[in-house]
Amino acid sequence: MADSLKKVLIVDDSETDREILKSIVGTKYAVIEAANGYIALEILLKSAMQIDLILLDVSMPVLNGFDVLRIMREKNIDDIPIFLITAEATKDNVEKAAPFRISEFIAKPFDRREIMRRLEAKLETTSLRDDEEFLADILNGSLDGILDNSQNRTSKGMQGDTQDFLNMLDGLLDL
Amino acid sequence: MDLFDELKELGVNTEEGLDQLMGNDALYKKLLGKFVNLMERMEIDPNFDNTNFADIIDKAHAVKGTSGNLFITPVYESYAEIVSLLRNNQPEEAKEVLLKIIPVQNKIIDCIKKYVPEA
Repeated sequence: MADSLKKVLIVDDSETDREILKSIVGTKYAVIEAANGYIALEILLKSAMQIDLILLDVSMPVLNGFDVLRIMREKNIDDIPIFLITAEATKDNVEKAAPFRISEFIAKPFDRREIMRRLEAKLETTSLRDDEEFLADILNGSLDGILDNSQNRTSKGMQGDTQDFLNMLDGLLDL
Repeated sequence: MDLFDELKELGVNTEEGLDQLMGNDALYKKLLGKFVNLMERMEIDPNFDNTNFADIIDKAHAVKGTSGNLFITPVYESYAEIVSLLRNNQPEEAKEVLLKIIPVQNKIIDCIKKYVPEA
């Protein structure tokens, strides 16, 4: 069952903050921790693990949150929602974040209910989008197959049964 | 009196702190112990250099973040003010706030150490 949980990567140099976030997020999602930006990039670039969302602290020594974002962009990792954790939503931080695709800003001190509300909203939206894309792929694939089949039958001089075709289409729309 | 009662008397919002961790008092105690370790690492000398205090901002910022998340309210409020004053280039005013909070934070640290041996 654990494998089916959405995976949230928590990147924060503060062990206490990671523990708090883990206790909040871990109630519903699988948590992977990174104590600094390097470890986070290792996980994102080298592991086969599929990360569904990143909670990324801005203020970290050596490789801060914006450095991680810049490298992610250079490596074309741009499809994972990112929640930027910051003690202060200063104008400077907002301006620095502007070039990147940040889904949300999370303020310190944490508000666990607010974090979960935003996380659930984001991950459920992503889930729905994935489901829609999956169904669209099935539908497109099936229609392609039907059209190919119809063309084959026509090319063989066999006229397709219109009612059968409509029944199949009805079935697909019920998916 | 237990740890949480004593901390409450010192201004720590233990109810919010416990709520943050969904009532997990063992985890709250463990993190309070880590807070003591952090305070020892991030100790700020009130006689810091008025012309070069970038590292003081970093230390105060770290204390602010962790104390806020653990609802150690007096420490959080003072260090938030210290960070703000230093960023506004007011080191003397920041030192005044620091001198006022040091005895309070020491009481909180002593209290945690009394109940959390590993701190």
